[in-house]
Amino acid sequence: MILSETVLMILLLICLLMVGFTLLSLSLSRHYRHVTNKRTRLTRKNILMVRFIGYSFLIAAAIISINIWGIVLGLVYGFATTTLVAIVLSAILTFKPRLLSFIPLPLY
Amino acid sequence: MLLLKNNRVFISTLIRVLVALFGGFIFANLAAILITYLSAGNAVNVAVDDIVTGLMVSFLVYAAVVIFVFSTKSALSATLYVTSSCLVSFAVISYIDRAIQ
Amino acid sequence: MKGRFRQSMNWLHTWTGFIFGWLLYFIFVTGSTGYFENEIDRWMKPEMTIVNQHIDEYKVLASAEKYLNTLAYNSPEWYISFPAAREPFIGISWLQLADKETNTPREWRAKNLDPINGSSTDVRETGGGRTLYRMHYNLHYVPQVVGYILVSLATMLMLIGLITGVIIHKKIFTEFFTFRSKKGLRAWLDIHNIFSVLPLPFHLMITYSGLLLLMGISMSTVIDTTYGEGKSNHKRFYKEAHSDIKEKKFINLSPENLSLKTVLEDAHNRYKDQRVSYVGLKDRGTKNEHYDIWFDAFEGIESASAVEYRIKDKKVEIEISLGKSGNAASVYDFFEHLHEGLFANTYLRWLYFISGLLGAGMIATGMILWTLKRKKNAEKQQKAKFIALIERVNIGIIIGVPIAIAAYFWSNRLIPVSMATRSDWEVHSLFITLIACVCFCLTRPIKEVWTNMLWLAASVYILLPVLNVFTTEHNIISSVKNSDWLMLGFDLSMLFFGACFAIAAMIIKRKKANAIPIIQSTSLAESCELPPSSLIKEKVV
Repeated sequence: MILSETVLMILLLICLLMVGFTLLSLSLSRHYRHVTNKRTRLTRKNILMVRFIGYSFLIAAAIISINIWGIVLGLVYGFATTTLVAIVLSAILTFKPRLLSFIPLPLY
Repeated sequence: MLLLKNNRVFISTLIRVLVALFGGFIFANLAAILITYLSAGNAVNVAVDDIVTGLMVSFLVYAAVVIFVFSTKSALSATLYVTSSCLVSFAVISYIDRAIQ
Repeated sequence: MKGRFRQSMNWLHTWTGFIFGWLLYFIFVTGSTGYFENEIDRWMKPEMTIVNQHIDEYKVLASAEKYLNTLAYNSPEWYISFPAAREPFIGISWLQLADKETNTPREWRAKNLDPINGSSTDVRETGGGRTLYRMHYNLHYVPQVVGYILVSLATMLMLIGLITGVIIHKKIFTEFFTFRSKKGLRAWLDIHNIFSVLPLPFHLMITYSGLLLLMGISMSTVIDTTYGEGKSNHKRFYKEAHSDIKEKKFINLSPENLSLKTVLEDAHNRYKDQRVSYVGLKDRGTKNEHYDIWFDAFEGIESASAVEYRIKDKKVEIEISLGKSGNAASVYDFFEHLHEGLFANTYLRWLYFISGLLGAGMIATGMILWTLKRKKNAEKQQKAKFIALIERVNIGIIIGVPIAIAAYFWSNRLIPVSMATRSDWEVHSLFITLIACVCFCLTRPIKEVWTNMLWLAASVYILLPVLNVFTTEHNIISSVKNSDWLMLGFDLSMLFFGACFAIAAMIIKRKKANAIPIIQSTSLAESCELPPSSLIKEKVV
């Protein structure tokens, strides 16, 4: 199936934001506990690294989005997709957190 | 004694609501006019665009006033602040209007 | 004094949310339907023939002109619309002037043309999607100015609600994704937070831009003092405020040849990649007579591309709009386009719609929180009865507004086409259904209200495509065959919404079957004697 360019760009944006927000959510103890079933949270060093990578993905998504669609439309796409991704992620974290257990954390 | 105290809270809240609602609206309008003069740089040749600027900012002013009124220590101080701001702005506007006459 | 400030903001948040909660919910739901106005219109006018094949635009123009000459010979404004992405129709519209002798009012009239033989199709008279979404700022049954002022006031309170909400939400980042679904009152608070925080940029944008769109009326005293009072002054103000920067140039077309056909030809030559959506002839018959061309599917947020053709100094001059002339006007324009979302493609349009519904959900959960928090504290008999009343009206409005909108669609199919005031009665049925829903909720025991209403909503939505099959020649299969994507999308969406309501009803039934007392279950009569509040142990922030 040949997907149009816009669809591919949107999928890229969704993926980038999904990875970014997932990492950020895992840096929080509540979500980390649900996903990995460990009673402790990540060490402070790991938290900083996970948050750094997470935010990097978000910033990368913003930059790419603005590059593709221009500043205004890029931000619109960015915020709109954030809403979508965050809602989906909330649902996953609430009802099926084990789906995310494939992520190898802690990294050390 | 309890009745009076309950009434005091009610009256204090009522005053804040009225000051925020009406005082805020009046001050938002006055602020819009001041911003219009400010963005035009003068009061004689006010461009339509400057009025648009004033109108757009007025809502932020209104919101700020409402939040301010509900964060002061007493209803009295809220009333005083808002009333004095309105009077000062009105005085400034009247002065400007008279000066350009 | 951080604690006192937070407390005051909490109080402010609760009451600015409560006062206009129901009105704002109505505004958000009807406004959200506006993002699919064209699709709703298409479904509500099933007689319109869609154009999904290549047409000869000049032939269409010729037959359109013929119709306009007969039907609108003394009208000062003509429009001919060509098929566009979300409006695949050929249509003509004109401004009919008031005529005292024949008692005709001044109004806009429109006709849909068949693409194959160019004749006009008789389309049922209906308010369509346009009336539905316009209700979100005009309201209904009240004079327009009253509607504007009420909506402006409600929007202002909404803005304050949003700002105070952000102030009091201490854990806005740490609880970003949190939803503790099993914890009663806490669950409702979590879902209220999710509906508010995740689409927060949208909420702030839509609220502020909404205020801006009505600023001419709500802050009209500013215009009075700085520009001039009175209706004519205000009209002049708007015209000046929205004036465009125009690029003007003379073109190689002789004035005698200036007609709809040559204007269309020139537009096609000049903008080969763009599709023409409208051709207009304005100020017809006067010396200011000029032609307008609009293009379809502009991707940017900037102003729609429009070109004007007029005769000046015995030559033909064109004017191309390049954007607003004032800086503040450009900012206003920008916010207006963000609010209306006309630039949005399918993906963004659905996200606009979902965000709007999330906003409605934010208001709905807020209203529910209000009643739940007060329910456990209501000691006096009077107050408990009042809270129980509000609780039922809440549900009546929250599920009732969607049911009422479905009733609007049902009435479109059921009211006879020949009835003269059918478009008025379509709207009447919307409000009658809404009132009926609220009254229905008032009579039900609290245990059953939610499930009753949800099943009702599920059925009216799921049966809509079925109604379509029985009352028109359209059905889902024929829509696929004819590539009638708007009709198909509408039918499928109605099935989807109905399914959502049904799933919600089933979830509630399962929760009750598991006997987890999430909400205190009392009927209206029992609420006078409250069971111990130990059922709800959570302490709410």
